[in-house]
Amino acid sequence: MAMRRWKKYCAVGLLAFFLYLSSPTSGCGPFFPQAYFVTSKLPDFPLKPYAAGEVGIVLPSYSRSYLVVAYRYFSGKPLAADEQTAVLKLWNERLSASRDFSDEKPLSSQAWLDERAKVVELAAPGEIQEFKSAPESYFQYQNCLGDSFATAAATIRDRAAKWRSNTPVLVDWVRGQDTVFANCGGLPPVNIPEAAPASAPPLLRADRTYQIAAAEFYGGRFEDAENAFRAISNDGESPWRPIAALMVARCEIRFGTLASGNAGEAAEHLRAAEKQLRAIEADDSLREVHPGVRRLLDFVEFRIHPVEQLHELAGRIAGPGEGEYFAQSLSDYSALLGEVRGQASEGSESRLIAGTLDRKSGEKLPAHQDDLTEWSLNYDDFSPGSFDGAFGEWKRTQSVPWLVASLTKASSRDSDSAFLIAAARKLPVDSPAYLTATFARLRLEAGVNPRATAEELDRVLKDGNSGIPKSSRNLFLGLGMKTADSLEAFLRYAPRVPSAVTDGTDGLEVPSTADEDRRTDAYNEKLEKLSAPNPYFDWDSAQVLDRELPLNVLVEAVESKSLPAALRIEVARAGWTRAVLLHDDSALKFASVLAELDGDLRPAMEEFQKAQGANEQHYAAIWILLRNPGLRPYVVPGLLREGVARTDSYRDNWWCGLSATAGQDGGPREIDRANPRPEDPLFSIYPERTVGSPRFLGDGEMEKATSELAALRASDTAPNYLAKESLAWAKAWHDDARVPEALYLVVRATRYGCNDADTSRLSRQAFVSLHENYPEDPFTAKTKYWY
Amino acid sequence: MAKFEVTRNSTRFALAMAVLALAASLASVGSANHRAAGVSGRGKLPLLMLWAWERPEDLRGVDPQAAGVAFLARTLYLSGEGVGVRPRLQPLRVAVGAPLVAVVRIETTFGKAPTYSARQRTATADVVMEAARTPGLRGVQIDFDARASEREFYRALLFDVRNRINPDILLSITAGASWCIGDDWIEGLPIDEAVPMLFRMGVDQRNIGIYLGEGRDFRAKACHASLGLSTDEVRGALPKGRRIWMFSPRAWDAESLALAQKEAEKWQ
Repeated sequence: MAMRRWKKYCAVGLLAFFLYLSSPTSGCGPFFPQAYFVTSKLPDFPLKPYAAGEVGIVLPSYSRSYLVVAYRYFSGKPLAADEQTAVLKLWNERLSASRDFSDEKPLSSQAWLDERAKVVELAAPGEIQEFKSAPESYFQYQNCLGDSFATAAATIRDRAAKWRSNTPVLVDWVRGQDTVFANCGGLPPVNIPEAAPASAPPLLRADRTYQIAAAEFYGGRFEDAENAFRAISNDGESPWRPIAALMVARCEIRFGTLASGNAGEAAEHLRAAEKQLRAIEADDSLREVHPGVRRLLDFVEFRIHPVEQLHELAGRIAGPGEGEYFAQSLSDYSALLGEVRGQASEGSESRLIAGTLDRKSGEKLPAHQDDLTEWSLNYDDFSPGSFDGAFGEWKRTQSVPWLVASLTKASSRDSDSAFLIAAARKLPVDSPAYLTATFARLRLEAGVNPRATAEELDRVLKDGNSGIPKSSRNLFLGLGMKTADSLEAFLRYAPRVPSAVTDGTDGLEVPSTADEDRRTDAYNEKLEKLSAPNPYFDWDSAQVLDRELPLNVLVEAVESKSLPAALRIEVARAGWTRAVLLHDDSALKFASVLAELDGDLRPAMEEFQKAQGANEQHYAAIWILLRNPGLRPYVVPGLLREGVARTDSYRDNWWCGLSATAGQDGGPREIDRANPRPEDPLFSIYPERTVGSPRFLGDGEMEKATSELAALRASDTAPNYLAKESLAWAKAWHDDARVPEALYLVVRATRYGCNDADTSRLSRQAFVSLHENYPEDPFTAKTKYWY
Repeated sequence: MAKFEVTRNSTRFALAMAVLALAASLASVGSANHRAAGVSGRGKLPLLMLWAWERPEDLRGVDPQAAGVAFLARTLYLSGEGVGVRPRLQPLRVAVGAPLVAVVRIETTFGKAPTYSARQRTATADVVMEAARTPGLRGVQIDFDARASEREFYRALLFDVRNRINPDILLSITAGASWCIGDDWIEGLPIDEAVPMLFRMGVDQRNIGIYLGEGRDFRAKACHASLGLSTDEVRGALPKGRRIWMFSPRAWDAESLALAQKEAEKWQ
């Protein structure tokens, strides 16, 4: 018996120890859906309307390529159809870079292998690696590009027509080409095809000479390759003369970008490439490779003459005519603009090899040489002097882009604003700049005549209706909320439909649509549901609700039917919780609304309403709070928390300390979750970065809100509060049948809620109270530990 | 964290404490081994490792005795049955003799849901092994934010890699901080260390901050050798005496390197 007992104690000890080590499973990298009400870096999805000129309110924070497209439309030079197609492809590539490396994307070598299989019965060489390791720098580069395989495929078709399939000469040719492509990936040694015998047909000998040069090139022996290509380019009989001339330049480019020890050496090689390319450009007999010359020249000039190239590209893309080159030119131009700002995007930093575009270092771009560049640099510049620069340009040019730039920067204190406002009023409704200019104008007028501003704003929203992008609509709503002179007006402007709901994995403001192949994934199903156009609060409306409105006004807000039902419920839940914490009678009014609207809380609120006396009511409230971890005394901007009764395994339950001092980890204070992102687009409406007290509060209401907030900030973190209240409840009402479960829920709350230094002590107190006073209760048996 | 039942029987209590003490002493030996493996054993890395991500980086000025470089070598996209491979496409220059770790990042959230089949796992391990053959490497680090449903695949992958990799090469993984605190799934993995990533933690930031601020250490022994930090996020209390792996959101420059060095010294 003693032995059995000893074994039992050991087992208990060991089990307890291992349980000590374990806790709820939580996977790494939780990704949470996130709502964006105004995208700041790019326009709303889909991007096709934007490319077609429906640009909405163009924010200065947009990535540069979007600003260039806006400039074109503002200037009355819309993108041609092929430019729209090209720019959409560019944006799609930039926003989904991972797709380029999908295992399912067909290799560019496949076209060559398919042609090869048609004309020779040689065994296939196996997968051709397209990437090669660069010497001594730990990265890889795409060695064999699509063009090389396309050229090989076209050549083999021609040679097969001349020599016929499976003939020895064709097989020899193919073996040579296989050897060339064996150098595409992998490590040394370099594979070089054998020279063709003197007896071989002249075409094969010419092809073989070219193949050998190509093998040297792909093998990384750029000097040997260049010499070989140069010899071919000087051979008037070789069919490869034009392309060989181009390959001489490519050898210098590879030298300059892959194999140079320092920037000076690299620049020298690129200048040599430039010289070769200019020579080809001037040689009419090499006309067939002139398209390739242009692309390579752009590549080289970007790196060694960035200032000149910036203006050259600006000249090309500021108006129509760039055609199929538009996407690359725009991409290069926007990258160079980034270099000017010292804001080169990841992956493109330091591509300049010679020259600098760093304005901060004192180098100034020549003024007025290039309107697009001046405008692009000014549009997102809000430093002192930038308004004067924009206004000066507008006075000089009277152009729409400069009007918009000036308006975006103007403040109501600028004496020149009146001219801008007058000019903006003249813009026709169908102008691509209309919404941007109107928003900026109304922003200026809101402080002077808020009522008229609100009326015009309502008209714009009504007339534009579904044609206004959601981000633009939400900006107008934000501006409207600022002008609100009544609670009803505030409630009309407060709800916003997100412009994007993302899964938060990549930080892009791009909607995450459920992948059809993952329909069984519960997370994607949830995401699809969240992408429905339901309204939520953005940070500005949440700030007002949380910090600026007293309880009596919150009651009015929920009793009014202006808010959508889901948001009425959210405000009522927050108001009820706040009223409970502050012992305010308005708790009954919020309960009444919740009993009517909130299916999840209806039974609980009905019980709450029936409670007699302050104590019974208070304990009824504690009971409700314990069973509903989704309750908290504030609303949160963005997507709604799912399931008020659900315990969140990432501890997003109830509330944390609400005090005005920073949290232990330096994170945002709990009630201050209604905080904007850094550089939030709504800052154009709220330059002080906070909303402040609304205009419609009555006498004494602002002071009431302040004192309620101060009292709220003195509240404990939820588990502590619930523990203290429940312990008092247990002491006062020992025989209340709910008390054991309440104490069990308290201990649970200390595990899943927000802790501080006191929580553990209170957890133990609740645990001890439960075990000592209710030893036989089932909830006592369930409460094995305190936390 | 759970506490023991409070009982009134001192004999029972004493026995439970004895068992606990025995287990704790075994745990501390294991922890020391993990620490030893990270610092003085396999791989021999300095106390500061700089992550060099997908951007041009010139770290030739960094003293190899002072800091090593962990460079993103490959990014794998698991989709359907396939493994898409993105090599490092941006140049990296390091000083002669710099301690190097090749980082292989695994993504599973693009494209089709991966099958996590044995074949896919082998293909993934093949790519890791290819990266491990980079000359001069001291270690390989796998960066995979594995969801709960992916852990079995990840565990099996790590065993595959361990069985194939040169025993002199350190095998490290990045780990969400919650793996190191509230989870024991990484115990028993065939790794030399797990680096708790204490930046960009999102919703976990508050909880982890509170946990560490109370002076507590990570529960998982594998997480006792290193810490993962970022130059643009300030940390409160951290366990000391760890290797620091430092991330910079922009290309390393003199200022960020100095900051990294200072942080590494602060947490020794």
